Parts: sequence; structure tokens; C-alpha cells
Amino acid sequence: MARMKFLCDAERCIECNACVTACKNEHEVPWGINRRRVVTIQDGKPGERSISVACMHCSDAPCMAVCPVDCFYQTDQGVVLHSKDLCIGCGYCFYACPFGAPQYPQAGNYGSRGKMDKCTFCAGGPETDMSGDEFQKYGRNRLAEGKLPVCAEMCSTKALLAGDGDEVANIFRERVVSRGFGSGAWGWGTAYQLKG
Amino acid sequence: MVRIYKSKIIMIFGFDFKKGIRNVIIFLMPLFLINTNVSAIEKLIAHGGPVKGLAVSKNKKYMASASFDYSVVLWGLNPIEEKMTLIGHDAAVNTVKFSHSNNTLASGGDDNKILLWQLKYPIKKNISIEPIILGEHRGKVVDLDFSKDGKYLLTASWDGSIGVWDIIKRKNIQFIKGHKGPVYSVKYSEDNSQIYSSGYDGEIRLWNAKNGNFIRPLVKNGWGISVFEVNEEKNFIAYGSTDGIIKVVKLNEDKEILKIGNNRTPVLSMYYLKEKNLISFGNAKGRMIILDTNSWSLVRDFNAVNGPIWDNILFPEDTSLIVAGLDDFLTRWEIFDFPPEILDRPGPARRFNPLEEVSNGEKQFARKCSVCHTLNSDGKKRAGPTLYKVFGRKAGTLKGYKYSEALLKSKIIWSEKTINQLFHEGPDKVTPGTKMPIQKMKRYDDRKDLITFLKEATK
Repeated sequence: MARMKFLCDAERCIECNACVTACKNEHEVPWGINRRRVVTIQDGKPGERSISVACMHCSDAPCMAVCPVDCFYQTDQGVVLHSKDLCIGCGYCFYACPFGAPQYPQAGNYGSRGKMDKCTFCAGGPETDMSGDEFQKYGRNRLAEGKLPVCAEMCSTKALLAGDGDEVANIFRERVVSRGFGSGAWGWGTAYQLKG
Repeated sequence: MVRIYKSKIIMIFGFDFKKGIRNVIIFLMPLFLINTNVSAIEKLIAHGGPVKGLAVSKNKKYMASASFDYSVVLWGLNPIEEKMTLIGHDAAVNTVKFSHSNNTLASGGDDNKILLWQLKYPIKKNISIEPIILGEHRGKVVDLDFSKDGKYLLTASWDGSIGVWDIIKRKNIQFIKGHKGPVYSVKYSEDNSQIYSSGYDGEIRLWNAKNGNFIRPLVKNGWGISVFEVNEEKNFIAYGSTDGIIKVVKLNEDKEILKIGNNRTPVLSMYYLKEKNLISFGNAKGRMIILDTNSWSLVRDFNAVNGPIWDNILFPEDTSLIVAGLDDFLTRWEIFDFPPEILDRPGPARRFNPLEEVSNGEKQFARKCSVCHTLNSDGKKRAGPTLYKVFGRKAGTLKGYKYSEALLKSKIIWSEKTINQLFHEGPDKVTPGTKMPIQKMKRYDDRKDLITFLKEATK
């Protein structure tokens, strides 16, 4: 079984925000919520880098550990999804998520927060695959349609890669080999404490 | 006692010569005593929902806990007993703090409000206190800090701002903006002239307390900084980050003193027992790490609860600690009298994963209702009112529960029909303005099973 992964190649990302727009359009994400965003470091300065960020579908997801109503689950492909029927909008998952993935609508209950919304890796939710209910709550289930996440498909420079982790790794490895040493995943050293 | 147990811990110090900064890597070697029957020494039951914040009075005689059940509970510490419940917030309470004189308690919550509670000593049991509403943020309030003179209060909010409040005039002085995203933690400097703050943007920032001007970033971590403590005299900042790192750096220079953690589990809480030189960290998976701030050595590392440790407190005598998490109770643990490293996620199964086979109706209740409602006659202290004898009850009429305006004005009488309607159409349609989150049950069978279960269980 494939283990689904996202990887953003900061050497290629041109901060066009097509991934953000494509996601919003594909899933008809409500006003005020972006499931994906582009973060730019050192904006306008030497060493500027952009990277597209959404839920990283962690293997050992902290959001799952802190949810008071156990609304999260992980599919056999490693995609972290949640049930909007169970979510009470408490915001605990936002405290725990290093990537800021959980999003909340501006209007709703519980201190003006409604159901949490986040990237689904275009894999819908617990409802029946490709049903109207699933689309209304979680957006399109492209994985069930045999497609990959729309953000990666839409990326004009193919900076954003999504799919089977082994495939993604192979594509990225080829790029690093052809570009040369030092062009690996940006932030990898910081994230995995290999430097500084 | 500290020394005895430290002698059982083997530490290896590594040096990163490349950067010239000493990194201290601590490996806790397996200890030799194995006792699988260890449990928390005490469960402190008062709340009806996850406990998010803890605070100890400066005289170490009282403790306060803030909970998802909309309440703050005030505890006596010697002996530990519930003194009173403070009801005033309209949503989950996230944080609570005592003033330095111990006369005022401040609390902040998901209703974006900051409430002040005036305390009179000695604290008598079950006396009600009316809160003073100090003000509001535009997002949830998650941390507070009093100035040493008790005149000002700082608030950290998810609206991205730090609130500075004049407690005596009871008004806002300013909202300091600059963090990119929610502010997680905030503190006054020792002389109250400066403000430290940390946030989702991964920075600890230093601000001028008088005019709110940004002075400089003290730490640029990259990942969000959930919690931090500063000791100006000893010249360090210790912080816990959302990528699971615990780090200690010099306050006045970019020099790392200590770095622990690579398990990627967010650090969510910390407590600094200054007088005993101990600092404790709790993470999202119930792990507690206690450090000695003199030698920066590991004192204890163990799993204390299932799920996150939202807050923790080391007791002044430094032999026990209290942790707050998803459970409806606080747990007190001995720090030294057992080898807790071997504990494997202690505590009961969460209520949402029943161990035994249950009916569909009970399962629906457990997963969708039980975090906010009980079925007992005395189950008042929850985010929602008890469902005991709910059938035939007029909405908004249970004594002792603080209803929303919408429910107080409602004419609904709870019956099979109206409960079915509530979960079919949703609380936002049936009782607009209610505090209840939008819970719908799409399947008729689920609604029917829930009602059948409730009819029996709420008798």
C-alpha cells in the first residue's frame, strides 16, 4: 500500500499561489479558510525561499493525540482525516500542529469557532466516497477517483509533489542528483537537526 | 532525594564542535527497578471536561484550574481540596493566573474574555464570587501574566495580539501587534519594563512595556513556541516548541545551553519552580520531562497521562507534581518514589473508545455528547447541562447551569420529537444562538438509537 506524502521543492516554488487557488476552487472551501498556503522566507532578500504548506499527514500525528473527541483517523494510505460530525471546534489540534494546518471558520459556536477544516490530501472524509455529503463537508475525493491532489497537479513548476512516498522520493532524488549537492529539500537539516 | 535519584541516571554530554556551541544530549539509560503496578497517587476530581490551565498562588497555598467545562476551580493545597468553583465564562477557559499579592485571579477563555476574580482570605468553601469583565480580545485568550506590582495584566491571544490592561482602571491600554499568527505565551520582565512573548511564528520577542515598541527578537526557532520561561538573573530562556524540541539558550547572546527531544511530539506546557531550580515540560502524548536548572541535567522523564499534558505544576516541596490533560480530573504524581520511565500510557481508556461492546445508542452518546453532558443528577459541572431527566424538561430551565440567552428564551420542551429534530436539523437551526456546537446525526437509525438510550439512561 502506498504511503501518501507531500514534498515541496523550494528550488522550484515561484510563489504563484496556484496550489492555494486550485485547492480552494476544487473543494469549494468556504470564505476565510485556506487549507494550503505559501510561506516565503527572507522575502525580497538574498536566499529567499518559498514553500507550499498544508497538513503534512504526519505518521504520528499530534492532532490525533490531543483531540478530546477522537475525531481524527488515518487511512491505510497514511492520510490523516477527521470527522466533522464529531469535531466540536475546541481548537486543541491547532495548539499541537507544528504546520498550522487546522483552520476554523470565522463564524460558529464555541467561542465563535465552528468545525475544524483542513487539507484532506484530496481524500474526502468518513462519508461514502464521492457522495454529495462528503463533497459538502470535505471537498472532492480525488483519490477515490484515481487522481492525485489537485494542488500538486496544478503546480506549474512541479515544485509541489504529492503521491506515493517512494515515487515522490525517486523524483526528488533525480532532481538533487542533477542539480548537485546542497540542493536537497530546503529546511531538511533544520527539521532533522543535521546542522546548526 | 533529588541527589539519590540523580545518581541512578547516566548522562552523556555531546559537543558540537562545528558551531562551537555545546549541545547537551541526554540519554536516559534503562533503570533497574521494574514495577508495573505504579499509578498516580491522587486523582483530583472537580471538573467536567479537559483541564487546560493550572496556576499556583505566590504563597503556594492555593491552586486554580481552568477547564473546558467553562469553569475555574480554586483549590486549597494544604491539604488538597476543592474550595470553590468560579462560573463566569461563556466558553472553555484556557488559562488562569494569581496576582503577586494573591488577591486577584485572572482567567481567559474561548469566549475571548478576560475575567478578574477578587479573592478574600481565608477562602471559604462554596462562596460565589462575581467576576469583573476586564475586556475582550478578538480571538481566544490563551495566556496571562500580572505585573509584579499588580497594576497591569498581559494577555496572549490567538488574534495575534498581546493585550496590556490596567487592572485598577479596568481598561485596555493597548494591543501590541507584531507576531505573525497566534500569540501563545506572554510574560513581564522582572522590573516590569519589558515584555516577553512567544507565538506560532516561532519567535520569542522582546517589547517595551511602556509604549509597546518592538525591541528585538530573542529567539527565532522556526517552529511555533508554545511555552517559555525566562530567568534574567541566571541569564537563560527555556522554551518548548511545537516540533517537540526543548531548548535553553542564553538570554543575552545567541548561545545554546541545552537541547533535548527529537520525537516530534509538540511540547505544550512547562512550569518553573524557581526556588528549587526545577523546570518541567509536558508534551502532547503525556510525557513529562523534569530538568535541574543548575546542572541542566535530567531529573525525571516519564509518561504521566494518556493524551496531552495541557499544563503541569511542580509542588513546592519538589517531590510531586500535578498534571492536567484531556481527563476530567487532575493527577498528582510522586516524582521520585518509583522508576516511572517504564510506565506505558497509564490511565483509563478515553470515554470515546469503550472497551466493551455497547449499544449503538450508547456509542452515539459516548462519541457525540459525553464530552459536554453527563447523565447524572449531580452532573452540573460540564460544558453543557446534565441530561438527567431531560425528557419533558423545558429548554434552558435546569437550575445552576449558565444558559445562553437563546436557550433562556426558548420554548422547546425536550421530547423524542424535539431531540430528533435537534440532531436532524442541527442546533444552529433548532436553537440558534446556543452554546452547543453544531452536532448533526444524518442517519435516522443513529438518532433513534440515541433517543432510546437516553430515555433509559436519563430516568
